[in-house]
Amino acid sequence: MSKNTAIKTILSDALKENKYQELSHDLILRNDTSGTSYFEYKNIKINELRDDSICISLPKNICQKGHNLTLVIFEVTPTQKISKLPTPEDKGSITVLGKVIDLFENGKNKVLIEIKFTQYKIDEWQRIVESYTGKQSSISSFIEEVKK
Amino acid sequence: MIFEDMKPKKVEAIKKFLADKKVLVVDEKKTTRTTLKKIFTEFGVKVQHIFIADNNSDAVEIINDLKIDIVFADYQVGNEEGIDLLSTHMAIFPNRQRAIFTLISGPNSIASSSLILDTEADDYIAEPFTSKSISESFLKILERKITSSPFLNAYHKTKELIYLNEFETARKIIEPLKQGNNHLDEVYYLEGKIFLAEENTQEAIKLFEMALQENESHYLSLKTLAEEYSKLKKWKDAYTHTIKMLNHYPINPANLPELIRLSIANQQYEDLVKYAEFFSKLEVQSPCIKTNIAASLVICSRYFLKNKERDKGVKTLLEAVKHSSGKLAILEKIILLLIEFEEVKLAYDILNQFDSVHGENPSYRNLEIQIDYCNRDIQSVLKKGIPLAESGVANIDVYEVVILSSIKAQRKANSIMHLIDKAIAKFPESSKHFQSMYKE
Repeated sequence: MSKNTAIKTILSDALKENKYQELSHDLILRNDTSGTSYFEYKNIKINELRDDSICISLPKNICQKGHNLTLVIFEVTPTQKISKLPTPEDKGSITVLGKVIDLFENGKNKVLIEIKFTQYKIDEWQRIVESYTGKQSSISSFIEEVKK
Repeated sequence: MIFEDMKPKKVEAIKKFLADKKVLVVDEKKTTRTTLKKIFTEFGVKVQHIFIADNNSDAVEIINDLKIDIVFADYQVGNEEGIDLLSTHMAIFPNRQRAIFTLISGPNSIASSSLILDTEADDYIAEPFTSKSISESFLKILERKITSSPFLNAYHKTKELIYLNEFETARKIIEPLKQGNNHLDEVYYLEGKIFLAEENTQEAIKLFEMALQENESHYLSLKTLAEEYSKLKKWKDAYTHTIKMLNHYPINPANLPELIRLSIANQQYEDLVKYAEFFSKLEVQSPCIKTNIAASLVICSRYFLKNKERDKGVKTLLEAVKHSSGKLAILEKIILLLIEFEEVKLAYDILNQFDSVHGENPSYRNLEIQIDYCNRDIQSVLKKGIPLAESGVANIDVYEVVILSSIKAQRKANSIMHLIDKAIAKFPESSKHFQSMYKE
């Protein structure tokens, strides 16, 4: 950028939206063992994506170790309140079946669970995993520009 | 798999680097600790050299006692921040050439990761992460760490000496580097840092500017110049350098309020309109980033309200509420601003939204009472305010309105004096003010 162009631009014009955007997927679930559902996706956080499992933190008492879950992962943030589980055919989300294989306390009112997938579409899951790997790659490349 | 497609010599160098290294993982989450342990052993770190902590206090002890070479710290460890451990690590390893500090599980925007550019942390792993993303990032750091050159050795040594306040020795190392043509941006920057540490700001600024002539995108020179010009109240220069920095790098969201203050100092009010639009459009999930955006929007709306642009001010404040995530500290700023500009009904409506979340919090109740006073609801002020005043959790404004309301309600003199005594006991610096409020 030339010196003259830099001086003409005001500060707010130099903010680039894409640098502040976060990549995220929202998740809701049904506990197939207990028959209950949990649709408050804002209270569920995805911590780690593994090849055939996922680690999430969520409020206590939604599930226990050994429970079978149906997970629905949204590719676009829902715009309306969710009142029922989307069907596997619904576009805009992927459905995964899994079992809680580990459960740990995570703070006062939350737990951290690992859900091992028992039924899922590999290519759909890989697409999500790769999107986060790609995001990290862009962050690491950005940091490399500055660090020695 | 990790070292696939890598030259055997490089693999050997990495394994040799890691052979004697001790690693500490600071994370409350067992699943993260398990993943990291697995990755480190795959890289060649000895199992008995991998240590775990789930809080900062234990981590400090372990870093100090065992001289930990590599730290992976969670972005948020309980109520503390993982980055706070960096100072402990630096005290053990002031020369960062072979030490590694990585933050993990932070928000995944590039702007959020820029927080480590201002520190000696080496890397930032965003959440949610995958094993592959951690491995690839760790590999990049290791490749940097095993790379050696006379320049890099001198660069890290100089930084170490500056950290240890050994400025003359640092100068001796830099001097020969100035004769060459390579890396002059870094050399001038380091020399500028020495002058800055010696409080010779004028010389420091000259050198940072020289660094920019060598490399107009030298991050640390741009950042430091923007800061130093701000400290000198040279607002135009600070503004210009911040633009140059933003042209190449995003600003850490935690520093967004500073951006706004800089625009105000330069009377660039068009910026505020654009900031408000920019922040309102951002869809971020991380609570801490949302809080920074909310704080920034409050500053913008104060400007709009002060300049009688009521609709813009209110609209921006409502966006601030959306981004606040219900955080009481931000809501307090919003409510107090609305009270200041006599938007009492709106203040009440917003406060009411969070009654179920914060209803028992003394700060929330303080705000309620102030709104009741603005609505001239004396009975409510007294009913809610007197217990708060008696228990000592009322803020100064609430003591004032409870005393004024007691006077208006013609309560007994000794009751009013008792409240005044309570207020003075809590806020002795305002004793004259409270004493002047009532004469028996």
